Amino acid sequence: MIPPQYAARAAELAKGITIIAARLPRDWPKEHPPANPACEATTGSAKTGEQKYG
Amino acid sequence: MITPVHTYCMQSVIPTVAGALTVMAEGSARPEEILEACLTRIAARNGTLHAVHYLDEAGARAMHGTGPLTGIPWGIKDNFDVAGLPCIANSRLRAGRIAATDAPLVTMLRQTGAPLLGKLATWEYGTGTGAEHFDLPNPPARNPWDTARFTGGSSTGAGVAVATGMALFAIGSDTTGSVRLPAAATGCCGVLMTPGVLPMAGGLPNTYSMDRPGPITWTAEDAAIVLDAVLGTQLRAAGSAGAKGLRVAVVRDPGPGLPAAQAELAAAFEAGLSVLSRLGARITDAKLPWPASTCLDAARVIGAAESASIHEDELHKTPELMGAALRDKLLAGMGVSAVDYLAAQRLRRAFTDAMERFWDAHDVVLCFGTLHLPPRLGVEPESSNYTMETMLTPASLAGLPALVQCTGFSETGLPLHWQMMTRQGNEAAMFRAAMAFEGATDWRSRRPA
Repeated sequence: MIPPQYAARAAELAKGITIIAARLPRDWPKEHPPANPACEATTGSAKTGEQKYG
Repeated sequence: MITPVHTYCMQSVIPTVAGALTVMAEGSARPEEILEACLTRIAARNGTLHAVHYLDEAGARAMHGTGPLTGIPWGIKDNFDVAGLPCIANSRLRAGRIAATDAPLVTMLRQTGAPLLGKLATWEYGTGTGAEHFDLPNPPARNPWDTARFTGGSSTGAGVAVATGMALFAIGSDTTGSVRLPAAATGCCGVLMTPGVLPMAGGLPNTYSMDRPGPITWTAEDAAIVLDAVLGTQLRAAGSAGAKGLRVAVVRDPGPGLPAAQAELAAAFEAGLSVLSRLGARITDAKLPWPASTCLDAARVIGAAESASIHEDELHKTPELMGAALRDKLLAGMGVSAVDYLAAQRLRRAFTDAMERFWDAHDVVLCFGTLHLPPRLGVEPESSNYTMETMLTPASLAGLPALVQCTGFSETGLPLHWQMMTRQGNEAAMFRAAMAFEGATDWRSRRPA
């Protein structure tokens, strides 16, 4: 949640990050992607078996 | 040549890790003398440079462990827990917080026998926007090559401490450049290993998926020595094999939307390439599967969203306690849509896969780190551009080992640099190039006044 007193600043910054994101390629194959690196990072390491967030 | 022991207690001679280990092995210096020299330098310079936030003089003096790094004083960025020491990550949000236990990496380093000097300067929470707002609990660290200039962030104290001999090595953390930028700005060597090799546990997270710890040292050889001591690797030996036959892919173009590297950086880059070529490296021009500028866009989207996710509760409850840079980054992250976050992650996956194929033809990529010389502190947009206009994020996205080292000095005496990247698990190739370059040039003989 965005603190109300920073709503205007948040809107301004959101515009900036949206412009950055709009430059990313979008023409990906319409298929299930392989494992996502973010998922690997948030569910722990295969090496250690550590489960941090899963 | 062995430097007489008394010289080590003078400010004018700062040993490398390799040099200090040699003189201690020869009996020309004792560990206590190396430590006292570091403490003397801290006492003399930290009041101006603000590199050390918490000095644990008693703890360092009490460290009597034995191991491969006995007598090599070091410091760690103040976003890692060290038992009994403050860990506030330069934030009012964590005022008064004392860590109960050592981060695993601290434990690993203690087992090498190296005395820990204390906690080093950082941007708030090890992150920011590149802008310096002078609104944090500790004053910003200053670049020892020109104290009006920025140290590189977010590990702002690590490079300063090593360049000035306050510590002989330092540990920082890097999401999209926070080890490599300070190394570049202070003329040091900064290294990222394959993700997971050095643990980030016990470090305050900036993102879920890109944070890595890394050493900052004066030389690439020193980084190899420290990593060998901690991990049991043989990087120093592997790195001594020379650059002959290494397939070095040169990437100069950062891609659309980013400026070309500043002229003095570019000139030093080309001169360095000539050195590597003379040493027998096989140099070819290459392009990354996607340009560094596209990687930067993806990393900014991922980084902002993940930081906001991690610190959302604090942004909601106590935003006024945050410095402007952290608050702005989190507010931007709150504006990232799920679709945009996934677009960035899809690029990341595709880039990572394509880089695996890239390494079939290349051993090392050589490119710039940042595209700028160390900027004037707090002068915008110089300050932000130094952090935000870089070629550092391909390694961040794909989890590639990376190394920044000094390639010379500008006319005004500021450090110049380049960056290497290599395939996961192939750090030895990177060290071969870096140590060969280091041995063939004399850039390591100059320290900040």
